[in-house]
Amino acid sequence: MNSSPPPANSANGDTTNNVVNGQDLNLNFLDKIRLAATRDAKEDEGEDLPTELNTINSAGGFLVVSPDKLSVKYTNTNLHGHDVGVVQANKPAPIKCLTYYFEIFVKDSGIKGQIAIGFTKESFKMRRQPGWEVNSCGYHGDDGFLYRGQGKGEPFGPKYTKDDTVGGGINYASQEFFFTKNGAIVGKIPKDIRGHIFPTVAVHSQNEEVSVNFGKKKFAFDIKGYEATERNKQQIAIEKLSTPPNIGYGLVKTYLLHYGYEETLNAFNLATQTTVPPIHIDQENAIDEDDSSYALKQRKNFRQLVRNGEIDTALAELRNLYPQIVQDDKSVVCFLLQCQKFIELVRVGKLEEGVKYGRLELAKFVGLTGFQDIVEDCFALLVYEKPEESSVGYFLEDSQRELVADAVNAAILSTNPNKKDVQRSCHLQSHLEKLLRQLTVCCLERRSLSGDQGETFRLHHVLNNNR
Amino acid sequence: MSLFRIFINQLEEDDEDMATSKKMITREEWEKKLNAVKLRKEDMNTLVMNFLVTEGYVEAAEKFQRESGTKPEIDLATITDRMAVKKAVQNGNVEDAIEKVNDLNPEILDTNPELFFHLQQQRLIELIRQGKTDEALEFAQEELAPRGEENQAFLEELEKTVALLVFEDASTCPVKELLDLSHRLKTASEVNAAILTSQSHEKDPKLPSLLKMLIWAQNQLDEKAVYPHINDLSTGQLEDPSE
Repeated sequence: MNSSPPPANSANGDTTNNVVNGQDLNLNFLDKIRLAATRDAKEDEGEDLPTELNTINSAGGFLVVSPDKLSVKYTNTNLHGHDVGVVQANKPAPIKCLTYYFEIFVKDSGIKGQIAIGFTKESFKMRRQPGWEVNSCGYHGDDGFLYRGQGKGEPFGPKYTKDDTVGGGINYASQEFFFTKNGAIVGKIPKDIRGHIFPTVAVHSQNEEVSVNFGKKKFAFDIKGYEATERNKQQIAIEKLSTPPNIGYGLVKTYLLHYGYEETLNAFNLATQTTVPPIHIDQENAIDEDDSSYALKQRKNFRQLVRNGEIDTALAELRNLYPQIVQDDKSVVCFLLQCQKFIELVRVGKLEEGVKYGRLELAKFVGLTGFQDIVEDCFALLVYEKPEESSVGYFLEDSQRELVADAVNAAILSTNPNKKDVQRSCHLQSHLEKLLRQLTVCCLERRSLSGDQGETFRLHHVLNNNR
Repeated sequence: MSLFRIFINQLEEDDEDMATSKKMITREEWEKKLNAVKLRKEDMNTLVMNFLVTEGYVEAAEKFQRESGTKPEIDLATITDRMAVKKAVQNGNVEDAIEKVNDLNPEILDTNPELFFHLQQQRLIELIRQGKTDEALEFAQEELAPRGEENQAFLEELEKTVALLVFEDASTCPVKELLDLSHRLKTASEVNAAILTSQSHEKDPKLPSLLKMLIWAQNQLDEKAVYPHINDLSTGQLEDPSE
C-alpha cells in the first residue's frame, strides 16, 4: 500500500491533516451514540407496506369495498370481459426484502366464481382480469389457470372457490411469483414485470366476495418457513466455499487485542494452546502483534475504569499517561468522558451534583455543532423520575459505558508512534469490523445494482436468526 | 467467415459489453460507503461471544462477559459439561463420555442411534488400541452386533472396525485410519454437535459462515461492479480494484 502522504492539492488533502483527523475519527463515536438512541426503533428498510385496498383507483361501479377496506364484493351483473371488478392494494409490494406475500379468503364465489389474485402495475386497466393485460399476472379461481399478459392462460393449479384461502407472493431472490392454496404452494412462474407492482384482487360475477389479508392476521401459508428454506438454499451455496483453516480464531484474537479485552485474550490463548489438538493461529505475522498489542495493559485498565463508572480516575490517569488525548478539553474523548461522569451521577441519584457538574463541564459544548444534540439528550435524563425507562434511557445502559471505553481505547491506539496512517479511520477498526463492513457494503451494493430488490445483509438480523 | 468464427466474435463482443457495463467504484467512494455502515459494537461482541460459547471456551466466555458486558446466549455452566464430554472422547475415555452425556440429557443418545453407535464403535476402537482383544470381541458381539442387525450401515462399520483385530501390525491394516487421533476428534465433534442441538443451539459458530459469506458476496458483486476487495481475510486489508 502506498503510505506516502497524499499531495496537498488532492481532493481530500485539506482534511487529511493529522490533528484535525484524529478528531474526525473520534467524531464517529458521537454517531455511535446517535445510533444507540435509535436502537429500539425497528430496523426496517423504510418501505411502506400494503395495508388495505385502494378505494380510489378501483373499478368503481362494479364492486363495493367494505368500510375496513379489507374485503371486496361484486355487486353488478357481469356482461363481458371489460367489467371486471379489480382492486389493488394501497401501496406497491415492498422490494427490499426476501419475499412479499399476501392472501385472500373467498367468502362467496358468487354465480361464476371468477375470482383472481395477482400482481399488476399502477397503470393497470381496472376493468380487466389481472393477467389479461401485459405487465400483470393472475391466478384465476374458475379454471385454476395462470394468466400472464395474454388473454390465454396456462394450466397452473387447482381451481379455488368459497372458503378457500389463496395467496400470492414474490420471491426476490429467485425472481419468481408464487401462489398458494390453503397453505400449500401451488406453483411458481418467472417474475418478468419490472418496477413497482401492486397486490391485486379481482371479482367478476354477482355476489362474489373476497377478503384480503395483508399480514395483519396470521397467514394460512407458512411464509416464515418458506423464507427460511430460501435462505437455506443460499446458505448451502455459501457453505461450499472454503476459507483458510482456523481463520476465525485469528480474528477473535485480534478483536480482543484491538479492544483491550486482555483477560479474555489470555484465557482464549491459554485454551487454544492446550486444546487437543492445539489450534495453530498461523497468521501471527498478519496479526502484527506489536501494533495491536500496543498499550494493551493501559487500554485494559482504562476500559475497566470506564466500565466501573470511575470516570474521575480515568480522566486523571489519562492526564497523567496520555496528556495529548485530553489536552483539548473540547475534544470528543473529553466530551464523552464528561458526559459519562454526568450519567454516572444521575445513575446513583446525585442529581444536584450532576447539575453542578453539567454546568461546569458540559455547558461549554452547548452550541458546538455535533455535540449539542447529545448534550441536550444527556440533560434530558434529569427530567424523568425513572430515567432508565425514558427515551434517553440508553445512556444508562451498559452499552454506553462500553462505547465510551471504546472511544478511550481508540484514542490511546492513535497515540501509537508506529502507526503511520493514523488518519485513516480503518486503522482504528478491528480486522473483524473491517470484514463485516465489507460484507455489508458488498451486499448493499449488489442489491442497489439489482433494482433495489431483495434482502441485504444485516449482522443484527443474522445474530437473531432473522427473527 | 465461418459460422463458428462469427459465433466466437459474438461471444467476445458480449464479453466486452459485459465488461463495460460494470459499475466502477473508486477506493474513495468505497471507503465512504464502508464508513457509513451502521455496525453496532454490541452485535460484534455478540458474534465473538457466540464463537467462544460454541467452540467451548468457557473461561474466555466468562472473562468476556465481565470485560465487555456481553451476555452469553446459553448458561455457561452447560459449556463446562459439554466440554467434559468432548474431552473424554478425545482422550479415549468413551465409557466416561457416554455416562456424562446421559447425565446431561439421556434423550441425546436415545434419539440419536447413529451417534450412540459411533460412540460404541469408538469404545471398541479404544479396546483394540489397548490390545484387549478378548474384551474387544466380547464387546463387539454383545453391544455392537445387535445394532448391526438393525442397520446395514452400522454392520458395515462394525465389520470394518473388527478388521483391525485381524492385523497384528495395525499400521498395515487398510482401515488403520480408525486408530488415528483424527477419528477420536471426529467422534468428539459429533457428540459436541449433538449436545449443542439438544440445547437448541446451533452446532457451528456464526463467524466462519460470515467469512464465507463475504467471499460469496464479493463474488456476486464482481458480476456487476469493479470495486476494492478484501482478499486477505486475516487482516481485512482493502485492495485497490484491479483494472
